[in-house]
Amino acid sequence: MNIESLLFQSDPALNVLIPDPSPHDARMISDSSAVNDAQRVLSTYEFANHRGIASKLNDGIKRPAVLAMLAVLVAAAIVVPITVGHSSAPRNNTKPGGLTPTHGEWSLAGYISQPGWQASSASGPLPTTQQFTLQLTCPTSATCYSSGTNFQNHEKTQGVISVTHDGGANWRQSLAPGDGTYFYGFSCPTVNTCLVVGDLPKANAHPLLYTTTDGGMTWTSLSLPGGYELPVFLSCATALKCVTIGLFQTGAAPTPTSYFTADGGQSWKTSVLPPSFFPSENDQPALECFPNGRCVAGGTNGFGSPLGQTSASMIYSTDDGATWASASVPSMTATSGIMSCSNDSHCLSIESSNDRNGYQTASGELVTNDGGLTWSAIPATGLASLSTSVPMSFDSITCPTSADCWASTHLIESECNGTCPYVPDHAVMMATSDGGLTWKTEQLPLPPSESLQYVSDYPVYCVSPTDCRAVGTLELTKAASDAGVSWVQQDVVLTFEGGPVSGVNGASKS
Amino acid sequence: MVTSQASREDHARFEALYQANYKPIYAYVHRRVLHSSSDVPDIVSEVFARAWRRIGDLPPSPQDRLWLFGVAHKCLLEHHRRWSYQLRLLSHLGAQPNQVEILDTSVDPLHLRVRAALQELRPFDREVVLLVYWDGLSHAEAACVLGCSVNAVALRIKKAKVRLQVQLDVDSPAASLSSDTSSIPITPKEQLS
Repeated sequence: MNIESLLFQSDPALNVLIPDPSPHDARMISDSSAVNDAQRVLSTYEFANHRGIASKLNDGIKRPAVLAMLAVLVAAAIVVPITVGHSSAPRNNTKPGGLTPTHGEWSLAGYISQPGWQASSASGPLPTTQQFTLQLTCPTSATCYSSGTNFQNHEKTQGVISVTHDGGANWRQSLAPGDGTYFYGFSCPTVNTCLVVGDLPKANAHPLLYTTTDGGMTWTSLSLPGGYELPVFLSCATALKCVTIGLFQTGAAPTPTSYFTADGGQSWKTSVLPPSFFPSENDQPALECFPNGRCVAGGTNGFGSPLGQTSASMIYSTDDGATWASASVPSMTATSGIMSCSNDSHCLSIESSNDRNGYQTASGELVTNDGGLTWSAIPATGLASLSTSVPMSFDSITCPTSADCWASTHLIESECNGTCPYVPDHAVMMATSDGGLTWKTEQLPLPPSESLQYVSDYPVYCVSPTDCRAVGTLELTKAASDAGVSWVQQDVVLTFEGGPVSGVNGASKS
Repeated sequence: MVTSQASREDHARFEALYQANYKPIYAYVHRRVLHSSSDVPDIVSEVFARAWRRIGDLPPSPQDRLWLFGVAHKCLLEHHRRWSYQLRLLSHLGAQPNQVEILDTSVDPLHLRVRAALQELRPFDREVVLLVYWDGLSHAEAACVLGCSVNAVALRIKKAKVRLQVQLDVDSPAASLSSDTSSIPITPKEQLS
């Protein structure tokens, strides 16, 4: 019996007789549900009693608890109007760091061209397709490839690779298998060469390696070695030398394993990873390889404890991924990490761990200056959300130099306001110019409409400290949504031009 | 009075919403409060009470179904916080928390093992698996409810299944991989234009 069947059959709801919905019950809710919380609690409790389903097990606790809650809510209803003038800062002030203008500036570069899109959509709604861009890589300032997911509706989700050859002003859809394929590892070592791992989210699906050697005009699919595996990482130092790291089935137990090729994916060899290394699970692969044979990868120690926390683990190779060794890493709680290398010696990794609700927030920062052999923990000032009730999760990082890095993040506001999923998570661009010691929030340009805001995910890639691209999504603001504006979502491309950001607490170089 | 202010269309829409989604939401909540299943109807009624109060803000169908799942998620978080507080209070008073459901003899022991293994997953991974395999949401719908990317949902499900396979020691649908480290010739399968 496979795991899918077991999961389906172990559903506890299969053993429960769920009562049929009654129109009378619906009317009771709509008739008795009041406008304030105190009345709501009472009506809910009365509704439960009406159904004859008020708690039995906790009768000794529930009724006093409900009454106590009622009393608290009534008291709150009295007190809150009095204290509202001293309430905490509004939500839009919960972003980490200060919004300090930087020496460089982000500007809107254009929109990814999709069927049905029009240039006039820049002034507001509405595209006819939506695309979540998850990865971005730019071999040069002019050429960028983006990997994302496009879904017109829930039945037609598909992976999409888009490409621009004019710095982001114009994009075109380059690869869309149309069969539900998701894209994982993604690497473009030259302007014309790009390789991406595609996988169907179903049992026994065999991942494929899609390659282009003509700038995205045509793609060829190659088989990857093994069976039901998922190479989550892919890095190509050149058009011919690539390394994958993924979850591979070797006999009875799944084992994170690496494959490497020296002929552009035509043939592969297997290499063994250090025991307990488990690749990170972010959209941005934590693997980078260089033409001199050096590879660095980030992950965790094993699958994790029952409480869901593991420690950071880093590995490296000096022979194009043929052999791997564990790096010296200080103990750091982590369930995943995003990593970027400015060269074959320096890499920076932001580690994340689960918060109390399972969302991943920054737990620390690791840096290496010797090609991944040894890593040091550095202070990560500015990486934590200023509001404990609004977790901040990291999506991507890019380090064009050992000093300058950008990281895209999003504030998980849907967690704390009860209106999930229609409160979009604010995207936040962060930057450091002191090697990751301090981070500050970047000023992004105003969206083309007041009804729109930047939301997750927002992959960023910098060719140099003065030349970055970010591809992300605009969605309706909460205010626009509440005002009844039709739901909208569209991709947007940001271009960063100018000098590097600098200094502690966001002070600009000038 | 709210009732007098609400339009007849709102009432009709709410009743349709209630009829169409009561059972899925009930099942969703039941799956996540096994420790206090008698609270399920309370939580479900709370979900729909919130839906009624925001009937004017509800997205159109079928998005309203996902909206309800999101509200149910929030209601469950609040329930778990309250329940956790009650447990601590009981513990302080010397009582034993109720864990009878995990020992339910009417349930196949293998299925109990699966549920126990699910409890060992990371919270976010477990929620993704439950949304897809128990609540029947697509990857895109689960991503919408959880506020993450579709890619993240697919990847977390893959990893969660691997972990469950290890913990449950069940057969994998995967073909075993040769330990041979020699070159593996690959033939191009398809040319895409």
